[in-house]
Amino acid sequence: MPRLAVEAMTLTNAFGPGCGPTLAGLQAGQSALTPGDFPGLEFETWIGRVPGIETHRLPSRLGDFDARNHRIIDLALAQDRFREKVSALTRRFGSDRIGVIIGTSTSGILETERAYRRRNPKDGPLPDDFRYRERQNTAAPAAFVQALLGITGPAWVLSTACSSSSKVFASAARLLQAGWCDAVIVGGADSLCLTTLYGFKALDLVATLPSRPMDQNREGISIGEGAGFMILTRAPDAEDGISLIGYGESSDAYHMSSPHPEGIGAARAIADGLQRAGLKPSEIDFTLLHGTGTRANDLSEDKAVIHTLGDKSACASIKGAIGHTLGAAGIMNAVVACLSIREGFSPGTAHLVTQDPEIHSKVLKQPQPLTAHHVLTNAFGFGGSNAVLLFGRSS
Amino acid sequence: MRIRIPINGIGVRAPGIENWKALQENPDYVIPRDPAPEQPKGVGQCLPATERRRATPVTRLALDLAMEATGERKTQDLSAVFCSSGGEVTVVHQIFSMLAEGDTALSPTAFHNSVHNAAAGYWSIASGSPYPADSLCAYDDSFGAGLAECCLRYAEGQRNLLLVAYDIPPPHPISLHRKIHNAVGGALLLGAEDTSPIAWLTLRYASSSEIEKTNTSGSPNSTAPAHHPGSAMMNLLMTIVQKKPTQLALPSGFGGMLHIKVEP
Repeated sequence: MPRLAVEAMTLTNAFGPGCGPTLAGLQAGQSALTPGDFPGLEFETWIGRVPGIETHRLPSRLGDFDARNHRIIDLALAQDRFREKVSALTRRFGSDRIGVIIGTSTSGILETERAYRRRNPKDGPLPDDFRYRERQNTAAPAAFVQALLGITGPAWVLSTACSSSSKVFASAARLLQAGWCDAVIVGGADSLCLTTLYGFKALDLVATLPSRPMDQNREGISIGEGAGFMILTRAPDAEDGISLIGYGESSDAYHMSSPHPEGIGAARAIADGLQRAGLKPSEIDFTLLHGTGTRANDLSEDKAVIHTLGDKSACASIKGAIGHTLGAAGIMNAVVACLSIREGFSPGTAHLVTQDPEIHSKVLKQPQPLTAHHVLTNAFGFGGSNAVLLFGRSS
Repeated sequence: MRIRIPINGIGVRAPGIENWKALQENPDYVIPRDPAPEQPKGVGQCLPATERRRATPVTRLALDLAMEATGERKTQDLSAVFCSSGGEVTVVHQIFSMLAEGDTALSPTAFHNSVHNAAAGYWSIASGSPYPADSLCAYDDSFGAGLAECCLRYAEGQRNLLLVAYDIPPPHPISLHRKIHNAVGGALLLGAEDTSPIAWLTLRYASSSEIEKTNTSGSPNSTAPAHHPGSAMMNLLMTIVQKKPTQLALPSGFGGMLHIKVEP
């Protein structure tokens, strides 16, 4: 595929707002996970909570959108001169030539959970301040980003659980290649809520201690939250010299919430991505794993990586550092991949002490200097939904 | 870029409409504005028995639509795009109700059924297809966004695409805030190489400023305001039922329109 320039990027997660805190934290090998202190969370676990989001306020004209998910989006978009870049591109192309494709799994359901607590459980209505369209509906984050930034091009939400905000890149690439847009804002956001905390708990996939991806004693995920965004254009040379060079998609066709034990679907997505990027496996310098820290996911992903890239290809998971941000996991990996290329380092895998002897990939524990030309990112979700991305330096 | 793509199969369910054949026999059909006494219900026959028991009614409805559109054709080579405004509204309501009463012992099946891509995930199990199964949402414009996504995949060189659009009425109390009174869904098999076309679509994207500029000079008008996320899909199907070459404009997701030439 033709390269697509990454014109701007930003992210916000448990490390704090903007690329700066994430970069500093990952370069220092730190973890931003904290003991779970989320209202209503009554079991022992660690979480990746965006600091200070409870007091963040949206512009008053957008009050109907007020939801934790949208506050995190608003905070993220205010960082890294992202909005200035949007303004410049809007002046250049026109607001209706810019698309908005967002991934989410939670949307604003935290606010609906709270509204349900304020109703008569038998047959009562929801409180007057409940907003379905602007907060709960799956499409709400795309509508919010459009309204906040004054963008009027095609917009929708992709919601394929934990692969959502990787899949957005594939849709954006197609919109750009068809000439239906001149720039596309891609990204994703997910926020802490009791549905996901207790849902993953019900599946016995939540760790008591901080998540330890690829460790022999790993016991599951630490749930995090965050939002991240990029702007893609057809420009041949990006400002920072970084481009999207490929993407790959597949389905496991196996189970709703368990990955294929041999990682067949994941391997197929990686192979699809390599083919689209025109790269050989040996040309991948580094892989940001989905690396959730569950027994089954990590084993399955390891088999996929070994099958496609071999056991000498360096990889790491950032989920011990920021938690599993679910629908935002894809964009977290994507932004960190571009930071790795730009800053010349690879993150390590926070909390990994002893690699599982059944896992044969070369998993980095500590951050390292790395001159990467091509970085692969993985994201896999419920429903057997797999998506990978490839980023590279512009030639 | 204009994209010309064949429709090779159609599935449809709505109050009073059991399938594509029934819609063809009702050339004046409109989605009722009020709740119909009989709502379409899905069976999910294509699923293995254990998965059929686990799947929600809305997922089974979506899968029945997919099966009608694909007919006897094999399913292992299909890429799918599922689009819905509300998705799994019933199970999501059950989870909210439990949590509100302090009952945090959620069912693992209910949780994995609550994701927006539940139907897409069950479809990939039923179809055995390793190709992508997407799931998207654009509120009332979800069908247009899904059609755009399918056509863009076709333009990229992908073939054998399945589009499934579906929505059911949400339960009380969400129903007070989201007026979807009837279960309506449709499915299109698109760009299949081994099945004869029912109709051809030629699509292009018209941005909002272009629409403003051309609206005075005879460009296709957008259809009546939607009262159901399935309205746009039904408008497209009715042009095929009526067998007249037509120009349509469908909202494609919050901004701009898909201008579609339909050749039955």
